[in-house]
Order: sequence, then C-alpha cells, then structure tokens
Amino acid sequence: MKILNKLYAIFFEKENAEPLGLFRILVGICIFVTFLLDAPFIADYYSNEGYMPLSQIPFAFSILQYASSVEIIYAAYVLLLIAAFFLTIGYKTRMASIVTFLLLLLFHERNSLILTSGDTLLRVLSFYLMIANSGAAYSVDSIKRKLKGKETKLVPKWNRLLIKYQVSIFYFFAGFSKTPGTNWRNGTAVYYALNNPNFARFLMPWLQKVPILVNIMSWGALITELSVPFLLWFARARIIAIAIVIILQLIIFATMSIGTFQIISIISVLIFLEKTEIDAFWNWLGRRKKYQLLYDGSCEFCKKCLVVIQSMDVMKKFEHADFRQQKIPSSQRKNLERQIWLVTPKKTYKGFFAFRKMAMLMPALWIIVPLLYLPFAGTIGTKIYNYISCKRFQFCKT
Amino acid sequence: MDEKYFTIKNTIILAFVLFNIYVITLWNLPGDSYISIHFLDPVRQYMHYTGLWQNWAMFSPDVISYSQHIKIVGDSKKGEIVYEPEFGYGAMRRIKYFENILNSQKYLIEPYLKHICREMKDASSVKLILKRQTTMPFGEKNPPEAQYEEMGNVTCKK
Repeated sequence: MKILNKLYAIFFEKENAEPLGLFRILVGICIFVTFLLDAPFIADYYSNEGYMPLSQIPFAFSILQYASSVEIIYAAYVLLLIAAFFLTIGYKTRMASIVTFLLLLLFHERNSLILTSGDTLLRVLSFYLMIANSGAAYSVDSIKRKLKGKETKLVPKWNRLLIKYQVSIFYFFAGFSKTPGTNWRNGTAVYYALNNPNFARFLMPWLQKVPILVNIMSWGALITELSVPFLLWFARARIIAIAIVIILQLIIFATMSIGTFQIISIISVLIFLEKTEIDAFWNWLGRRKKYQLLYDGSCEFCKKCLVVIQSMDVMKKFEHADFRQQKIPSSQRKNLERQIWLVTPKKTYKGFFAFRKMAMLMPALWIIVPLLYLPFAGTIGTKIYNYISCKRFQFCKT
Repeated sequence: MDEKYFTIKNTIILAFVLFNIYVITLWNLPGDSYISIHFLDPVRQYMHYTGLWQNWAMFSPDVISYSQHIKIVGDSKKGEIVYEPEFGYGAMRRIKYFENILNSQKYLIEPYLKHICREMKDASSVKLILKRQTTMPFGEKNPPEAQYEEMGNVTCKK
C-alpha cells in the first residue's frame, strides 16, 4: 500500500502549471513557424500534383491519402496554422491541441519522406500537449478563468513527467546508439559531420590539423547526450545540464544545417524548468525599472483590463494604483478619468501611448508591437482608445 | 498522501502513463535485443497511431562519410536545361526526401521526375543524376573521386 501511495503521489500530486504553459507556447510557435516556412511547397509535398502522388504511397493512415486535391490540402494547412496559433496563445487549448496533433499526424503520414528529426520531435511533443492540461497557465483560457474570479489551476505531475521522460529517452538513446560507432569511439565523428556538404554550413577541412579539438568535440557531444538525461532530473544539476544542451545545440545550429531540430531540442529540455527558475528568469529580464500604472478604480471594465495586464506582466514591471486613491491635482484627475497613465521617472505615457509602452514590456504582446509603431498608428490608436474609453462604463456595468 | 487520488479516473490515467513509459522505452531499445524481439510487436501499432514512432538514432552508429548531390537535367529543343531546386528551408526538405528515396524507395524517383516535367515546360525528357562524394578520410590529404550515376530518366508528356 505504501508503494501504491508513493506511485500515486509521484503522478497525481498537483504542481504549478506555468512550466507546462511556457512549454506549450514554445512548441506552438515552433509548429506554426515550421509550417509557415513550408507554405510555398505545400502542394508539392502533400498534394496529388506534387512529387508523391497517391498511387505511390505505401500504407499510411491519413485521410489526406484519400483527399489529396490542392484545395483540400490548403484547407487542412490553413486549419493547422489556426489551430497552432490557438495552441500558442492558449485559446480553447484542449481543442486546439487535439486539432494541431491530428493535422500534424495527417500531414506527416501523407509524406513522411521530407521530415527531419525536428518535425517528428514536434509531433511527439504535440501528442503530450494534447493529453496534458497545457492551457492552465500562460493562456487566454487562464486569463478568462481569472476574470471570472477563479484561482489559477494546478496540474497533476504526470502532465510534465511524461514529457520529461520522453525527452530523457530521446537524449539517452541518441547517445547510446552512437556508442558502437567507430568514428565516435576514435573521436573523429565531428570531423566527418562538419565536412559533409549535406549537413555542414561551411566545410572545415582544417580540423585535420587539430585532432585534439576533434576528439574533444566528438567525445564531448557523446558524453553530453549520455549524461544530460540523468542530470536533468536532479535539482542541483538541472540548470547546468540545460545550459550545456543549449550551448551544444547552438554550436551545432551555427555549423550545421539540419533543419529545425536544434531549436526544438533546446525547447524540449526547457520542460525541466521549475516555476522558481522561470520566475527568476522573468525577474532578471525585468530587473531594471518599475513603472507605475494609474487607472480608474471606479470602472469595472478598467479593473478587468487590469486583471489581464497582471496576467501578462510576467516580468512584474507594473505597480498599479487607483488614481482616485492617490493625491493628484484636480487638473490631472480629469485627464486620468479619460485615459490610463504609465508613469516613469522621466516621462508619463498616456492612453494609447501607455498601452503601446506596456505592450513592449509584456512578452505576450511583443507580436503586435511592430503594428503599434506603424505610420499613423498613434493617430488611429488614440481614436480607438478614446472610443473604448468613452464607452467603458457600457462594457461592464458598475 | 491524500486518499482522494485513489479514484477510478486516476487509476486509468496511471495505467496509461505506465503503459506509455513502458512502450517508448521498449521502442528505443536496440532492435536485435531479446526484449525488443519478443515484446515490441504487440505494441508497435500504438507507437504508429500515436505518432510516437520516431527513432532517435541520429548520426549513428557512425556519421555518414559521403555526401549526395542531385542534378536534374532536362532535354529541350534549345539544349540542356539544368533544373534548379529551391534553396534554404525547402532545399533541406528536398535533400531529406532524396536521402530517403535513394536509400530505400527508388520507385519514387519516377513520379518525382514527372513532377519536374510539369515544372519544366520546355523539356521533352528529364533525367536525374546522382553525384556521390566520399568525405576526405581523417588523416588523408586527397579526397576520393566523385561518382556519378544516372538514377532515372522520364519522357515528358505534353
């Protein structure tokens, strides 16, 4: 019974959902960008008019095998992009993750010959996101829950444990399968990889002259792959293991062209990060200065906006205050009734410009920042802001 | 430990989680091992239908010591036309495609060349030439000579 107790505790104790939420965002972005890069070649890869017609496909379970017209392929493609976008932002996350995984599987089964390890790793990770409660944090769904006054959800530990185990397995067996190799044993494997024009970004024949470096790099890569899957499980070694993986994969990315695998394998080890480490990272990013946000505390709509801002303010940049509770001259009060203020030691941003400045300080809004700085964005943005500001008491009845 | 965890739902989840861990471990064990031979077959379909079938044996057991380059040449009234495939991200996918079909699915060369025929409107026929170059062995100075082989040739229907 004690063993059973322990087993249930390992898998079903609740933990903070933020590490899983962050992981979901990164995987979602990768799926979205990978398929976006494929856009010019979608018909070539997957349709009947491409270079793998239906008659030539060995058995695979993909409905795209029975419906391979260009129109259907593009419709499925657009649906996948939409689902991956929703998965990234965490809107209807469960449904988005199911649709994303199923469409990824259908596309991959339709033509698996173009896939790199990065693509298949993405598919594997998306399977685990589908069965986990990946929308419990860093998501539109979680903000909606907060707006309803509900507490942040915790998730059972098995959600992340399954992904962690899968990542450990892939690193360990990537190393284990190399151990019988002659090149890996004599420490020349990296030389062959960096001098193969199919992989290398630029050839390095000069490595012949520094055999010690070749040995260190080859054995270093092998030792990393064999040890990292174990180190990642120990709290004290985890950050070092993650740092080693990031450095190794970035070196490979800089020297070899093997698709998106390096980026995705870096993301995959980030599932081992705990909330404290993620918080420490955000605090470090936002360590410089804090901003005071003055809002109208008598307006329900403003308060709901504040909940959304707080959810997205992962760097804890904003200290908010109801201006009605502050000692502020009456001349400024009238302005504050119409628009929020973002106060910095040097400058005060108001209305749309405060929103624009805040967007720069909240990673979730970075994607829209370029739009906010387009020509005339200030004029149009101010008009939209003023319209919403005037109607704000109608949006939510006080 | 809270007894509320002992529910039917959690027990089903636990069974699934343990099964998944068992299967992905089994899947990655060396194919010629006793355990793989005797225990993998019943669960092979699970790996396939969940899309978890990836094998992580990359650059192993040894790094490939040769490179392959594809040259596609079309014959037209104006002479030979060399087909230039896309560069960058698309080229990477094409390299992967050829790596796969040249290794085990050569029957896919013909449909590929027919596809190229559609793209090269002036070509009356298209052929695919494979250049295979062995990487200069470590410790040697002269690279081995490249080998060329015609892998396929199709007549374009107009």
